[in-house]
Amino acid sequence: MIHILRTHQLTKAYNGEEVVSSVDMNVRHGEIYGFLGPNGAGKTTIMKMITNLVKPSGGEIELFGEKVHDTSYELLKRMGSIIEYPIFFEKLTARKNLELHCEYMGYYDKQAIPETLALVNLVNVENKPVKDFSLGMKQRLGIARAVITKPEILILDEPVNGLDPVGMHELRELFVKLSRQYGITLLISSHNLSEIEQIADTIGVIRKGQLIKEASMEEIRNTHANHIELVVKDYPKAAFILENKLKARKFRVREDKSIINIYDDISQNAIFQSMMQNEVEIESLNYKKQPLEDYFLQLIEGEGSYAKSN
Amino acid sequence: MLNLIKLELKRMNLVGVTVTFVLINAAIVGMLMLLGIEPEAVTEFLSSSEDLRVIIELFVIAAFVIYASVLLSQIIVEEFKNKTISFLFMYPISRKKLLFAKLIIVSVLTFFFVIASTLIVYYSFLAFNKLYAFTPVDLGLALPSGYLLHLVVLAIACSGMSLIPLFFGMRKYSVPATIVSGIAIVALLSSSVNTNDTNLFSVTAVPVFLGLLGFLIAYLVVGRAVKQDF
Repeated sequence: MIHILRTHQLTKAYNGEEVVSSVDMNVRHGEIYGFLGPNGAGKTTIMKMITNLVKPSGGEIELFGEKVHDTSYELLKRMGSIIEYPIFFEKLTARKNLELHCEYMGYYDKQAIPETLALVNLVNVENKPVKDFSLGMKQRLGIARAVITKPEILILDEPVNGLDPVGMHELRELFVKLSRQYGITLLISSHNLSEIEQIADTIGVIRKGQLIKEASMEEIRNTHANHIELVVKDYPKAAFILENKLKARKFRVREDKSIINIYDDISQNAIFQSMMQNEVEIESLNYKKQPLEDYFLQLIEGEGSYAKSN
Repeated sequence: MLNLIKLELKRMNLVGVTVTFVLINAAIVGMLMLLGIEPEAVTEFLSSSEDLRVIIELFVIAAFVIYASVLLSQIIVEEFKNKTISFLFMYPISRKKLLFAKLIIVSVLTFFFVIASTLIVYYSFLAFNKLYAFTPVDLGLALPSGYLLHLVVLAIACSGMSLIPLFFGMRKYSVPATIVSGIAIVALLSSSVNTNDTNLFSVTAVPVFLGLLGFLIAYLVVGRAVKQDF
């Protein structure tokens, strides 16, 4: 089983208006899948469909290689989740909340509770009622609850929302640990790229209910690495020189704007000299650094030729 | 199912429920004793053990139908309101079972409360009557034959009736609406409909009909929640 979770043409409409349209998502076994999109793009709705809170209007979900039905309760046992914000029985203590959770899930390992609380760094508070917890503590407890039954996949909806930078950092480390050490697959949604960029293996970008991009982080980094941008009048000739004289292999010609993006490790100086020698008129030659942030912003906002040209 | 009910009970404040039950009984006995002080009321309500039982039933049903609406709002309406229900719905358990477990708790508690309280209040009043002699009539210890059956039918009707407030409470997940509708049902039923002091309770068909209506409403509420998105 390569994919632990797949959706096929998944659609949800409220009163005829589609909030999620034909989403084909592929989450691979063991990876951290970053689910990126602005607020209201449909991330939560998709996650709710996966966790059986919302019924899809169309399409299907495949979990652990099986198609999900209304009554696929056995599949839910293998999943841990936080949707929107962690909801607890506020009057009960942290420990009691976890105990109840385990019983509802049909998981009986009493030792798991202290272990999991230690894992999320919540110690000496297990006998406090949850209503006295700070938001950050609730988030941690929510993650503890999600992982306590040792699920195979974790569905985390904006899990670092409302945490301070230190807390965010800790949680990110925890996610990596869960993924690498425990082999848990994580589907983490966020509206903020920087939160998941460092840990995600694959990124899915959702905008207005549509999955507009799904690619591995590595692939994205490679195509959007630092590069040299060369603007010339005679781009076929320039391309010829790059390929034959400078032995460039990784460059891309954008004919519409006569721009050539060069990803090879060639100095600006060398390019300049070669072009001069071969009488190619240079309009501009720049070292470009496009942060991923900008790239995703463009994707999400749906503007800019850059996104389209890819 | 039994397991689910157990889990549900774990989250309830059972000590609070027990204390409330005791207090309600004490309050009803207290009210009856107040009646006993007033000679006019004694001749009207306490002239026979039959009279006494009718008035006790009225108090008990009123109290526990209202209390059931409080329980409903605690374990169902509030869960929908503060969304803890959506968390329960993520568990590998059918929504129907989860909700029926809650409804069973309210219904069964109401059933036992009505029977137990009627008997407790009746015998407590008899005991106090021995001490203070509120009424000159000898009330006697034995219950007439068939009374227990009548009580059971009434209790079943109440356990159904206790679910009617759900209909009002679940429309906007409102706790006040649940409790107010519980009070309204009681007020409507116990108001006198004609001059010889009978009320809607005394026509057995009425509570039985309302009981059935309550079960039907509960069924519909569950059916809707099962299909709903959260």
